[in-house]
Amino acid sequence: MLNVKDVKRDFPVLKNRDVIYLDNAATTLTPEPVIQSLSDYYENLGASVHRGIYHLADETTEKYESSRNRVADFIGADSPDEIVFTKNCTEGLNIIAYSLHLWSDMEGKILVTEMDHHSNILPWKFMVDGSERFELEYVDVTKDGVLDIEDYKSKLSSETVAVGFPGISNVLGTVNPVEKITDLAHENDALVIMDGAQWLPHRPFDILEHDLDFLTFSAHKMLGPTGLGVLYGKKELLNRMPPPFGGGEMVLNVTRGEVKWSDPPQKFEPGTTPIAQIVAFGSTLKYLEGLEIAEIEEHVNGLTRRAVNRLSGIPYVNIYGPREGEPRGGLVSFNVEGIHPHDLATALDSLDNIAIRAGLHCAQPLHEVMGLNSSARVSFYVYNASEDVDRFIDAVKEAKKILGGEK
Amino acid sequence: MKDKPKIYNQDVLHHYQNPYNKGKLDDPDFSVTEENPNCGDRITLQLKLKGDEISKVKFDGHGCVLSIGAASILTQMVRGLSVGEASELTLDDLVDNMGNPPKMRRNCVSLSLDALKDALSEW
Repeated sequence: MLNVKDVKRDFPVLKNRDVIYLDNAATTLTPEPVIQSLSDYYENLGASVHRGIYHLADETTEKYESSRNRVADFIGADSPDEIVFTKNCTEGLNIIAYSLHLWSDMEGKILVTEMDHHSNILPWKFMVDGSERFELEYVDVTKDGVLDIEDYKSKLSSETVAVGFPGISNVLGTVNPVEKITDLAHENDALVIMDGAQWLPHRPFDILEHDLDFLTFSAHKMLGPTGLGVLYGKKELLNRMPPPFGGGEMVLNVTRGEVKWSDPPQKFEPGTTPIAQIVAFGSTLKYLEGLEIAEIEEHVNGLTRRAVNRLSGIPYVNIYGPREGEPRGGLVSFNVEGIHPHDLATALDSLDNIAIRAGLHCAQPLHEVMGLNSSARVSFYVYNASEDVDRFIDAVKEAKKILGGEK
Repeated sequence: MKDKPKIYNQDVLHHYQNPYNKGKLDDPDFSVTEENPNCGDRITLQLKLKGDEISKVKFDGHGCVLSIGAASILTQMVRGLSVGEASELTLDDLVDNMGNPPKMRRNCVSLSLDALKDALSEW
């Protein structure tokens, strides 16, 4: 079992600031070993990678590439060449969309879900708007907050080029049936893209087991540095995909007339990448593996169950997402009757320094489907204790007394 | 729980719970709706002029304590002002009347003011 007291000591922010941080689905705090690793790059390495012909550059490149190896191992990829470093999960999804757009013999329908984050909707909207080759369609979400598989099946066809979906919804917490989605897509020869931003921090994941074509996630949602994401792509796909951006260190040969791209992943990493962050992400994964992902999953599930149970017991609170007992990621979205979510967030902050998210969580189409103007959300991670959940519940009740009158 | 100060200025909370000038005008000269895309808040502000003086003002819509409270306070501030005077109102003027609400919530406060500015720009 995770020892939260010990874990908490690793996070300087929790020593320096009086905060109960429950906005982990947005971004997570950074542990000491990751901060050390960032400093170590700036203090002891500092060179660029894959370019310099000197020891310092060589050593930096080795650390950098060992991070890539660690990412490949973390998701069970066949080869580190299938790991592209990006700016964030969003950029990974944009790269896929732009690249498929540039792929000239590609045309047809793109399917995303009503529960997707804007980052897995807007890149496709940009791709289809004004295009005669592509169309965008949305798979329905049921009243229970799960993906409507029958609707998915009915919208899939041989015309479908690609299917995008979130492994775990950042609003509903729904854990999607990855294998079923992937198998059905592959039966129709469609590519499958999973937004793994809410999955990778919390649950073990094996890419080969799920046979995804693409997976994207962000470092900063799993204790890593900001400014860094990962795009996994099957090697044969990355080999064939045209790169959407050009720049240094991504080509084998350039003349005025012709360009020969480097092999993946370099083909998709033009210019100087966030080297310090990539090196530190290796330390992040080491730290997470030290805690054990399965243990993290169990710990976060326990906190989430506690939050769902306790919120369910309050008559003026409405909870969204899967029913009790159904699989749920480490987050709960809800509303307090008579209190605007922004007011609730301000109240919780003022009453007990509790940081929660309020608004649309970059998922406006989903809120429309749910018939909501906005919602509040709590999300948990390794340094949260059950006491945090209890203080949050107390503060919700207190806020209701002050802002909404008692029911 | 620690002994913390009130969440919002009591006056603002009062305006939210018992808003002034809420509703619709029968025959407005101007009617402008503003929305906050971050949270779906929506305020419609309606004005009736007598000469260049704002003789009647009402607002309607839904929102948080700050957007509704600000709208209620703003309608009280602008009634009887000339179009020129009302056009010169700033966010700081409104904030000063609201006991300094949290900085990161200023777009909630400005919703009704934005509607007022839009309406007057049509004059």
